[in-house]
Amino acid sequence: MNKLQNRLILLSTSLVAGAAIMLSWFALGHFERELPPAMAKTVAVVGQSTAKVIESAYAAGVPPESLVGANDYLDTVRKDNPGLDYLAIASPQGTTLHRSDNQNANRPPLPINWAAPDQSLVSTQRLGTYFDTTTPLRAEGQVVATLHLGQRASIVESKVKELSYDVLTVLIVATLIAMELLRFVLAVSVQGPSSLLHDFLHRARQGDFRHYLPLGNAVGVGRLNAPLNHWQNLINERAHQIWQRLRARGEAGADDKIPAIAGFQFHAPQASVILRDSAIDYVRWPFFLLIFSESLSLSFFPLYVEQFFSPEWGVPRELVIGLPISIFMFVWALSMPWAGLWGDRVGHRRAFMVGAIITCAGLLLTAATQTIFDLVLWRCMTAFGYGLVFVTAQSYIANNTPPSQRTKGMAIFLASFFAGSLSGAAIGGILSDRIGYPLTFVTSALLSAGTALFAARFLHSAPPSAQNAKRKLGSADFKALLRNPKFVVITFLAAIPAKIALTGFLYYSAPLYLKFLGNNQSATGRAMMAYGLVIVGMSPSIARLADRFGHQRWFVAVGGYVAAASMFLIHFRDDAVGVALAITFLGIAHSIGVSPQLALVSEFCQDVVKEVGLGTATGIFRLIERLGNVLGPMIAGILIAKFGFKGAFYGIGILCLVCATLFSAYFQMSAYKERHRTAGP
Amino acid sequence: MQMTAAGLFGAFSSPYAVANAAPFRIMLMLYRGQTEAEKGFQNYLKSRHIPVEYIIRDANEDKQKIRQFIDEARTLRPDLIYSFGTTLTKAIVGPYDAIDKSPYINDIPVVFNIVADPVGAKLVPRLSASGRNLTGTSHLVPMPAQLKALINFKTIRRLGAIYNPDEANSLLAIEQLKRACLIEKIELILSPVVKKTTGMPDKADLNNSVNQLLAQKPEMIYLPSDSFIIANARQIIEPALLARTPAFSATEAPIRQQGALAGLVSRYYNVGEFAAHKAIEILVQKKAPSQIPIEVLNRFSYLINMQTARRLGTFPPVAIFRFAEIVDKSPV
Repeated sequence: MNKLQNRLILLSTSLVAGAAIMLSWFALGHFERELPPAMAKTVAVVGQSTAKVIESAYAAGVPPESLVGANDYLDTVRKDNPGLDYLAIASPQGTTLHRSDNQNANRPPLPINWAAPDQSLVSTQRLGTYFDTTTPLRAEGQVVATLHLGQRASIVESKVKELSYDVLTVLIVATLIAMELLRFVLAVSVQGPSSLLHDFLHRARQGDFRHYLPLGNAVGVGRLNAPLNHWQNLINERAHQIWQRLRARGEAGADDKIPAIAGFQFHAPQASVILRDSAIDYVRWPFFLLIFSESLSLSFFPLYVEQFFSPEWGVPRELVIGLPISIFMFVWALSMPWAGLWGDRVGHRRAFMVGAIITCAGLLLTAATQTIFDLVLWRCMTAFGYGLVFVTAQSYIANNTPPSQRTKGMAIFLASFFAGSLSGAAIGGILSDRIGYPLTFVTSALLSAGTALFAARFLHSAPPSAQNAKRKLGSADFKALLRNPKFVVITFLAAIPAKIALTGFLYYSAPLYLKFLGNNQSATGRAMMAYGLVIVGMSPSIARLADRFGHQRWFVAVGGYVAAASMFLIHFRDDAVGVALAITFLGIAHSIGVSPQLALVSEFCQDVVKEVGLGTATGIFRLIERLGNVLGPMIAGILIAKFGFKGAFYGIGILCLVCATLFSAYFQMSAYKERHRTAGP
Repeated sequence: MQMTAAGLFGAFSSPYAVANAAPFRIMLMLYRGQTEAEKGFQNYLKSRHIPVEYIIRDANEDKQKIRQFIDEARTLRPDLIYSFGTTLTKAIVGPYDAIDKSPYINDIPVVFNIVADPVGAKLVPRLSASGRNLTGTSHLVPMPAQLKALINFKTIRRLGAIYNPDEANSLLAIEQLKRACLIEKIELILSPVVKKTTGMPDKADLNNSVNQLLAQKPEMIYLPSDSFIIANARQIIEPALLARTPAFSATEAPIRQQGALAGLVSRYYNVGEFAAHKAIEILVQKKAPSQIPIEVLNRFSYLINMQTARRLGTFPPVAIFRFAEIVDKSPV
């Protein structure tokens, strides 16, 4: 079933992607054809005003070939319009009379003879590496000369390139979304109902006729539910009748319950049980969508904050800009333990919905922000809702996967998170370039509201199970864990630096620096997308590799060094490509070094983990780790204020380097001691 | 560089609600008949719906008549006097430092127009405000701007200038021209019109000066804002053209009517509109004339006589066509 589903998803997604690629291809071709006339429009005004001057000279009796100072005049016009690479006046026969062009330009010389002008209209045609816009100069209805304006075709080409990047980004994201959506649709229409059907028939085969199939979302395979329920009902009614007859004859027991008849089980009237399916794919789509919507602002959030900064406060600008991100991360981290407990009490459906609605409200209010203070407040609200959804999805997946598949479940959870995050960052960048920051936030809010609807429709609350109920994190647990040096080393020298690099560099500095370098939000979103793409693409295989190799600590150390190295890439290439490379390498570093961290905790801190329980240890580890999320923007902000962007990147790099070195030194030493102890007497 | 006075004075473009009031009485005192300046003055008031009753007096270049006008003004008591040119204005209001002010009009506001140099003519001590019952406008274009305009037309090394040394305006203009030429590194050849007899210089005197000047082969001749030169411009320009030497004029008329090649000028019509704007400030807005600054236009007209250009085969650089006003008339 799963295989079939995966194949279906693969097939449909490749069809969707293929169709989209074709469509984009045609659209780009169309764009390339339509662009020259559009470009000509941008120089039309210059062309007309220049033509008018030459025409008035003609009207005053100065023929085009006798124009005095024409080259100087054309030079002036060219300098006033940097988009123009050359201007020329040609006779009606096509001979160049006057011209102005950039002598230093590395290009073939301009033609001496021009094509005969079109008598009537301004026209644009490709001329070697140029777009040449020809304006006929008229006097008394006669064309007396032509004016040629040249625009470098590479300007057009770079625009086409920029657009094709956007199209490519949309393609990647659309493919990801299509995959997620298909998975969801298949889960709702095929996988869910058929696994229920399987369960239903299996029970019937065992002689258990007490269960019914749900009728709520009867789509696809689920359409069988109603007739099956009908038969089930008939069987039960018949059984009931038989039983009543038996009782009337005095052959049945005195109690009211329908007993098993010949080993078959039936339900009493109005006491039926409806079977429920809790496939993890049900939560995957709404979760993906919420992460997507929240991530729309990733590529421009620091810039949005910057608008509300006032130098009068006497606080460094960079610190103020970092603050809302830090506070968001802080509230997010703190809300999760509490939200987890609450979610277990009220059920996943309700917790998810409430979280999504709070997120929606927070995003709407963020769009309407007036000052930095209310911005911080709305971000806290959003963080709270986001935390609630995050922890609910996590717990839904944990609750609905058998323990043997829990690791896989978590991998799915993280894959959804990063896929949503990278898609959101990329699309948000493109969107904000076109509709502005506030409307992008409104879009986020609407998507969050949609998420709430999905959750309401497709999630259902499993009865709270004692087995999965979480324990409150007690201070004794914290103390126990923090007394364990290995736990402290893993948390503070590996996990926290990784998060500092994530928020300090990726979420905070990178958008600011890319803007500083003159990039638009689309480019920033694209660059940020690289991180998520690498994580989604690499981390499962690296995790498998780490499991096979076993030496988790080496992975963590290598991850730390790669992260440090990525921060120094900017030294070799100080431009958008350099930043994108740094982001990519940070993604590689985190793919290598982040997921083995938790395994390392359970491996090296067995005694203390046993003492507090794995769940609690994980919770505390995550909570402390998120401290890095909070610190990241503040550290980066202070570094930028003091040493500039590059200084900040190097600073984060040095931090990662020092931590990775201390980390490996510690584990090297303890391994040495271990060996010594076992080898010794 | 076309001057649009309505736009410049746009701040007062709303019509004044004085339609039903008794019309203002403005006495136009003219020296050599109605010019474009008076047309501009009257049309501007009309376009602003200011009801005006005009009393027009023309001296016809006869200084004797001015005395009568002053007496008449004292009897008629108009709301405002408009006076044209330096000579007439000086006769009506006298110099600001005159000890005996009784021969002059002091109790009726005066707006003068087409006065090249109000300070030099001692009408006012400074341009920021007259301190008298008097304000006005000047058609003067700053000399450095004129010379730049000349160079834009044609790069020259030798410039000739002809002027009447009896006119204070001319002497002042020539002083400024000397300074501007020094900066632009242009050799200046001066040719004052020297009189053989006393009184006004005659045409023979002028011919002498012109011939002397042309003998030194200047590349262009500058005609200052000088009544004698303007009146006799034809006698300078024709022989100069025969010697293939174009004339660059400080005033409109020689270009429009006498075949001077070009000039950067304040159009009389626009200066007239500007004067009307000052009149409105006094009559409608009740500002004290003593507080109203005396101003020149800050945008000028570049006039080119294409007839002359074609005759000489000296075309202006194409960039000048962006703003130049083309005159295409033969000399009248």
